[in-house]
Amino acid sequence: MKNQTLKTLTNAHAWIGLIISFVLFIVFIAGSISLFRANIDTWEKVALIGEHAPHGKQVSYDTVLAKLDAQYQVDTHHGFYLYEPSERNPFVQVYFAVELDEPHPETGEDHQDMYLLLDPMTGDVIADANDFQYANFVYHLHYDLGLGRIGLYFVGIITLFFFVALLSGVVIHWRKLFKNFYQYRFSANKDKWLDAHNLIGTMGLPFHIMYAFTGLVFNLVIIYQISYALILYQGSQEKVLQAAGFNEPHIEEADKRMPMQGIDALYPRAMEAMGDAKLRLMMIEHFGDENAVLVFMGKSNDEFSNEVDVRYTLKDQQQIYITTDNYDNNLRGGLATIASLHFGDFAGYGMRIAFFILGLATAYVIVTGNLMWISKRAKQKKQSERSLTFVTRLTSGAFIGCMIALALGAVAAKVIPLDIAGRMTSIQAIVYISFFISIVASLLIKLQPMFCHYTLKLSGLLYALAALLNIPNYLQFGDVLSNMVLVDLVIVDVMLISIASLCWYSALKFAKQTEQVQQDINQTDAELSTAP
Amino acid sequence: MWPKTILGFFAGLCISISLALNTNLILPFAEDTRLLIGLILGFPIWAGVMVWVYAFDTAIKAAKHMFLVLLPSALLNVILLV
Repeated sequence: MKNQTLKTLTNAHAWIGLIISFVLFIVFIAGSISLFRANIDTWEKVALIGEHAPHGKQVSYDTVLAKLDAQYQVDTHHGFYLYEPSERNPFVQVYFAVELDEPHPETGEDHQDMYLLLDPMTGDVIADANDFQYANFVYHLHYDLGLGRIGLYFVGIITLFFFVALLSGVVIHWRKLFKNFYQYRFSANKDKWLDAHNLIGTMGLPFHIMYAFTGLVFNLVIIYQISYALILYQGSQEKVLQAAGFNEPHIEEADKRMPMQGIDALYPRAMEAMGDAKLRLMMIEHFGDENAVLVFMGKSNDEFSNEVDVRYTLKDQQQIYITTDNYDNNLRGGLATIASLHFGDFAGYGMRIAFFILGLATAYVIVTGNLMWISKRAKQKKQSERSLTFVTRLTSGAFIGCMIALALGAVAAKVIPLDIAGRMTSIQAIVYISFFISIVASLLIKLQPMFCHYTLKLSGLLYALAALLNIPNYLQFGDVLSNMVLVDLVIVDVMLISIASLCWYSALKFAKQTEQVQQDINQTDAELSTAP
Repeated sequence: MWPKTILGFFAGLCISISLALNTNLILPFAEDTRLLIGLILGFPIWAGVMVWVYAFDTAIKAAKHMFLVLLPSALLNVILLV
């Protein structure tokens, strides 16, 4: 390859990396934390689990749904989702929509989404699950920055450019990929950053490519879906979805009310029909209608990423559909495999920990990429000092701001009581506001090493504090909580302490620079004071 | 860099859709398998084309090459669809 081509590609690689770095850093940090989403969910609401302990293993879905049907005007046109109680989450979780007589004052919609935790035997409402969704909020930051559909496509485009940066990186380093594989120079910062960037980038390459590709499928598959529908299926999205295996039988609504009973009887039949599978969720189509269909969805325990699904009409308890092999469709099976690869949910905690470390390592690759860009540009005479200062300060503010914001969110998730109204709104506000304050502060502060040093230390302390705030839960509920809940708590606390240590270690790296800056200031002050 | 980025984004999109469609129309597999192959090929082609565009000195030069790839592929789309 010509040197000029390599130079052009290197410039493109650095430029793309810089442009996408701020969003990509958030995506990778939030994604790494989200690998333990289920554990964080338990960690956040452990006080609620502890207060309602001990938990029986019995559950009566018929009682629960009868009580819910009497209390709420469930919207028949929306899906009704039901999650069975588990050792981790001892409540029945229901997610549905209620009909509104007038449009919702905030959303303007004719329905309101409900997400409740219910007592598995009586159906009493334990809590509104919307109020403790920190894990879900971080997960949303990972794939849509909390901005809904626009954020989803935006993150998709950022992921596409991440893929481009990866491929261009491979092309750039191809000739020296193996020769310099173990190279790590201590001589200068730029060399250290470059070697670390290349080393981690190369070692994690299969992981990076897998994440870029699978992330693109999640966020931008709509592009190919639309193009296929337009060109191959006469503009019909429905035909595309059918070809893609989304063709389970759907029965039209009868528009006649009927109590939702018979689930307790169908549950063992469904478990037997699904074989060796773990139930993910149950869903009722047309809740409260005579033509309601109860769907059991699960995942095989003995096969990689194999989805199973069995459906019954509630009216006469007839099985109307069953699939034990990914809906007998290769595309749907492929999508399930892509999802498993992305979430790392196929090989226990070992795999998740490996993904977590690789995720944080990718964040480090992003940071070193920016530092190299700044270092290189600082040596160029034509480089505008103003824009370089802006990029330098934005890099510090956005990267450290992300760490501080998520730490503050975790602390708030532990400090704000679970029964406070608008709890999640407050946590979200804390995260967003602290992120923007960090960026603004960084843009205004001249002494960047000092800013990085103290804000990183603050981040480390906040992550450690979030873990420490969990200690009262161990003391208060340690003897009534199940082993699985205790494991969840330990996993999240260890994760928080690990991130705290990384932040503290990074802060110490800036300490020397801070000392140097302080010495320079003192020297300047001394010179000014001794001047005639 | 922006002209190359915009060119690469749209040329990559068009070329990836066109090539994925050709594989869908040519490969002798079941419908769901062909859709899956198209999905797997689509994004790497898109990103690969963008890298290729960045490798050129100017966006104009890159545009000529993209056109030379897209034209026969699009013609094949038309031939296979008619």
